[in-house]
Amino acid sequence: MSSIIPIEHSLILAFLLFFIGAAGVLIRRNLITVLMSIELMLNSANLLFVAASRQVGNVDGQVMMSFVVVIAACEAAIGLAMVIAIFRRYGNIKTEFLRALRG
Amino acid sequence: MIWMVLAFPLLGALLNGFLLPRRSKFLSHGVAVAAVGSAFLCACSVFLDFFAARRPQLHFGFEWLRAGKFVAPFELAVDQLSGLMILIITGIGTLIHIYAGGYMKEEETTYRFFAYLNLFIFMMLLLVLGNNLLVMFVGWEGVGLCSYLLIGYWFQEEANAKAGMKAFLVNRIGDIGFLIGIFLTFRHFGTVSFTELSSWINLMTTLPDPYPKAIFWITLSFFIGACGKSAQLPLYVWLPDAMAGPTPVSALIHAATMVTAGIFMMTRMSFFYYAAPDTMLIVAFVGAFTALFAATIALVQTDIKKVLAYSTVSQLGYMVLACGVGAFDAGVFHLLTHACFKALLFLGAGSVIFAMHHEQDMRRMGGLRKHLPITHAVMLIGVLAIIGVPGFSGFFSKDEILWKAFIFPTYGPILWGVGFLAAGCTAFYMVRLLCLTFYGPSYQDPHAHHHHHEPHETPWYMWAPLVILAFLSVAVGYLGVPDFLAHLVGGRNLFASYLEGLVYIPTSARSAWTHLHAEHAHSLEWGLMLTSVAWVTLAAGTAVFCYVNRPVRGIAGFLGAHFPRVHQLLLDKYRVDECYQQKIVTPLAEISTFLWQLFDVRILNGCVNWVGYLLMGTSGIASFRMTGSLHRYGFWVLAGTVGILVFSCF
Amino acid sequence: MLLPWIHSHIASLTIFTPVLVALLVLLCPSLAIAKWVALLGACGCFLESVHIWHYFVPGHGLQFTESYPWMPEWGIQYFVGVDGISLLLIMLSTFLTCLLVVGAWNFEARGQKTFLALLLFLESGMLGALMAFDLVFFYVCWEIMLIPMYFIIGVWGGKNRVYATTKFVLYTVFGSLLMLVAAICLYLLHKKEFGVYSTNLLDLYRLSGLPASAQFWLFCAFALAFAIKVPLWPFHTWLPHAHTEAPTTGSVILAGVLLKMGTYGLLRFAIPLFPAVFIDFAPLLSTLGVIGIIYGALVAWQQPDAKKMVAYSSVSHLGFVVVGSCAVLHSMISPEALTGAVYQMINHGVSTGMLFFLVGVLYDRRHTRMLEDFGGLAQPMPWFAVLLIIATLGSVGLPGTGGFVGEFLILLGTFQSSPTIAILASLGVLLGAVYMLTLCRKVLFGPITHKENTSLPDVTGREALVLVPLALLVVGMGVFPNFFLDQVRPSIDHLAKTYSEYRLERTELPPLCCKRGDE
Repeated sequence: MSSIIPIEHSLILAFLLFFIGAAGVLIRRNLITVLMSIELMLNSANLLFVAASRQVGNVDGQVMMSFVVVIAACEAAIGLAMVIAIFRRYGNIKTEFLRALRG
Repeated sequence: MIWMVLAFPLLGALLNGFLLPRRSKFLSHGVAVAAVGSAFLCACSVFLDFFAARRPQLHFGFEWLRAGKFVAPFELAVDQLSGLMILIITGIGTLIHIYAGGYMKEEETTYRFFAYLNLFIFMMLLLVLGNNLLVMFVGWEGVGLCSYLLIGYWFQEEANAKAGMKAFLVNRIGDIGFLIGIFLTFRHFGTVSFTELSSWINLMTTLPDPYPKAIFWITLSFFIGACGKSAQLPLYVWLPDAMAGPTPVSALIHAATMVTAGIFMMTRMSFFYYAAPDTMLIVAFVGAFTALFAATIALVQTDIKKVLAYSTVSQLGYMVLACGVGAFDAGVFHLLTHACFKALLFLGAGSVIFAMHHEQDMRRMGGLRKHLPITHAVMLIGVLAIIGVPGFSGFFSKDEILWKAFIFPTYGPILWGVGFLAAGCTAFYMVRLLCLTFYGPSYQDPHAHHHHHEPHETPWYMWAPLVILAFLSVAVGYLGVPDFLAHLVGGRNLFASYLEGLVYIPTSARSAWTHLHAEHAHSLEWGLMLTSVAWVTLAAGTAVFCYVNRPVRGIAGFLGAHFPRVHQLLLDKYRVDECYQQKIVTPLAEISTFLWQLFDVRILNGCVNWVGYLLMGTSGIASFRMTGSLHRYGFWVLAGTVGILVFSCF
Repeated sequence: MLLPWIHSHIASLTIFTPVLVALLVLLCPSLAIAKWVALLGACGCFLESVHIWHYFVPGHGLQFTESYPWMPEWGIQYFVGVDGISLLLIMLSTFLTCLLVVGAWNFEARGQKTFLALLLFLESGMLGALMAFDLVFFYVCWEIMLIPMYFIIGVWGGKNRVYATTKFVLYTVFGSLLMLVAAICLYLLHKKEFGVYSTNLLDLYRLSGLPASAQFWLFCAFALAFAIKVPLWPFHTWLPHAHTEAPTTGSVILAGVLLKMGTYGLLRFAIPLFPAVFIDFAPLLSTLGVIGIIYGALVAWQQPDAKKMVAYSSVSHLGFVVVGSCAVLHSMISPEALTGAVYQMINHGVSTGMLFFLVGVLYDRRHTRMLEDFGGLAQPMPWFAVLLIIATLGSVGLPGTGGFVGEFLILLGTFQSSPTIAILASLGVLLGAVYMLTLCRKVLFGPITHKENTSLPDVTGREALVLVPLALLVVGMGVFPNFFLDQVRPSIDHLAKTYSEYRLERTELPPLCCKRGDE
């Protein structure tokens, strides 16, 4: 049991991944990159779940993680479909063109 | 049997309208004639049954409508009045149907014509046979519908379609009166059945007030209805325009049957009218003045059908006058004789028009006696009948009305005087019509190159009905020889005794109507009769003098030239139509446009939209943070999350 | 085994058949199949309503009831049933939907499958609202009706469709949100009086201790919601837009059934729930009704657009219904007027539906609805002329058509309570003839002024399949009114006489074998 990675390491990694993802969502202008960044954020959450599950000795976190992976897959599929639809409609996938909700 | 009377015309209408192949004119004509003819035979049988029993017969069909306390069965009544009416309608109807086959020979869509005509017969029968106000009203509006469709039969002409619409709408004004009458009746009596109403009226003898206000309003409302249908002042305007329809229609609907529905209805409810002397006075005056008013217009008209139309309005005025003075039997008798001779005159005029290739202007006719001998002969009989030459039917019926008007206690002589003047006018314009059409030099229209043929007599199936009608125009009069003449040969007024029991004065109202049964000096009656004969002869003689050989010129031309304004006023029909148009229709149309374009679109709709704009404006202010930029939204979400986390940690 | 089960669940089956069929339609692989599925579904639903009609026992209160707990902790049920006031409207809805599916058969637009599905979905909403005897279920159905209509106008409508549909939905929602507030208030008041929560309408009818001021506001909220839907003057401005922009099918269903929801709601909810305030408001409502009658007729008269003319005529006709519902006489509603009002709802649905369809026939051929583009059409299209004249006569209330029976009874009853109102309203009878005959004259008669009109094809077989049943119904309802009224008269009389302490009893399911009329 002593050879396992301490929980702090996973925590730090998860935080890093999360903030990289968040920064990607906020900064990048390409929709594909934005989608990838969102995946990154989801995966950081997954990492936390797994780490916590291991720490507590309870499989609930791992169950949750597999849910998230499935949902993330769906989300990626739908997201990419939408990106393609947007590309077809506007001819590019830059976020600054998607401002129809402006008040 | 009574149901067969109704079923045959309806069947004919359905066959012609929807079921039969439409190519064959002969087939559609044959079906229509057969339908009305069978109805006539059935009606004869019904009438004979009734006549043998001498008691009104009720035929219950089914309960038509029930709501709350209101019950209206589909029930028919055969009594003196409706028995007579179904004979007139189907009898004259058959003759006109036969005639129409020839008249409409050149039409493409005769099936439509005959379908409408049969439907009309059905509706008219419903009107006269119904034993309650509602069934009568169904027929009442139904005949209006058929009249609308038939006036607009040649719908390609805008004017015909407009005339039909006008007829329908003016009649609708009257119909509203009728409806309000029904509402009032139901309100006060709780029933609309004639049988029950008449027994109610008899029960009212015990009331302190013999002439309740309610009865006044009821009778007045129904009279408005009668004004619409029977073309009385001020609602007569539709009838002259209705001449746009084919001539057989004018003969059947706008002379013999439908327009008399008002008189029929008032007679049906005579028990009400006797109990409302105030209404009766109004009725009498409206009738008398309509008679004179229309007769004066007819003096100068040049369209042969227009003359006959105004003549119809005028004759209807006589009938209404008869009702107004309480002589319902005389009114119905005039209805009968008028149905014969006016149908004859219209069909005769139709033959003339047919022979002249749809020319209706009398100034372009003349000398037709040679070409149309039979038509001339029957038209002569018709004219003699309508102007009241002794021995012809119009004489008996019209004089009876004038006499009853004279002895009417309130303003009797005035009413008589007005009717008397109108009788003179009638003699003048009818003889004028005859002279301009049949006598004098024949008019050659230099512009009409298409008249290759001389006018020629119509085929037998067109003149045969005329001959029958001519015979009736003479013979029917002898059914109603006034008592004082009939006594000379030991008889009595058959017609009045036939109607006895139907037209009766409720006991509560007897005192007002004693004059109807009082004895009068025969010398007075003789005197009035001779006066009117002399007056008619004078007027007819003047017309002969003016128009034979001198069409339009002569004395008439002289009068026209020296009183141009009067002449023009008469030619313009007193400009009543223009006045209605200017005072009622145009302002209403303007109000309508105003309501639509300004009030509805701008104000009401504007208010609603304004609420919307207000909300949109407010939201515009409130939504300044909605930039639509994904990154900015993401940033705020993140910032918010962090903020909440920070806030909750510390 | 199946038949008794159907019999005992007929109300729910009728409500849910269309929505299930709508799903099927969406799943259909091809349009051709989808159309037949939709038609079969609509006809099946109609047959179910015929079953209801057949086994309905006049005078037995609320029948074919079904209730299941829905949200029991809050006293909310799924509770449906049929009584005489809704029976005719249910028949009308199912019948019209059948015809409309046929009418939209060759609807040449994208998404016809969706269109048919929405139509069936709408039918479910209407039937639900008509059969609901639970306030919450009613409200849900009431709002559900808006959704398909929003899309029908907004997607398949004319040039200005988005404006029209937005206005229609917002206006209606504005009213119904007020109604929701009032409904919640009523629900709480029921708890206060009886100690339990209930949204069951039969329980709410028993409420007696409502404070006067509360009744006033509640009535206002309900009445406003219904007045907008009717639409009562001056809340009618959404109607001309919605009608002119909607596709033919949408107009027919809007005029045929949706507008009746307003007057139906008035009879079902506003009047029996708040009788005391209703008495005070009746003169106001009938005055607005009369204004609507005359105003609608006058405005219709000068319209250049045939569809707009028919739309304004609806304002006029529904004015009659409102007047008839508000003829209060000696602490009862005049039963004659109320019968007329119920009957007039059906007549209006049939005759105005037919008129809209006829205008649609013209539009399909010429792609215009302006009266000036027509004239003399009786020549190339004789059968069309016959049908248009029949519809016109039904609309102007000529005796022998259903319109006469309705208008006559309304006026007769109203005259007993208020002659002035009745006389003014009967002016509407005259003005109705003015604008409808003008329409007929401008479309059918006169010379043919446009070359395109000389060779217009007459009514096709498919169109006849829709129009002829409607024409027969227009005439049949005038000739045999008692056939229809016998079924519903006891319920109407009951409401008219006892509306101030209205009670409605659930009755046993009528036995399946027993023919009606044996009682």
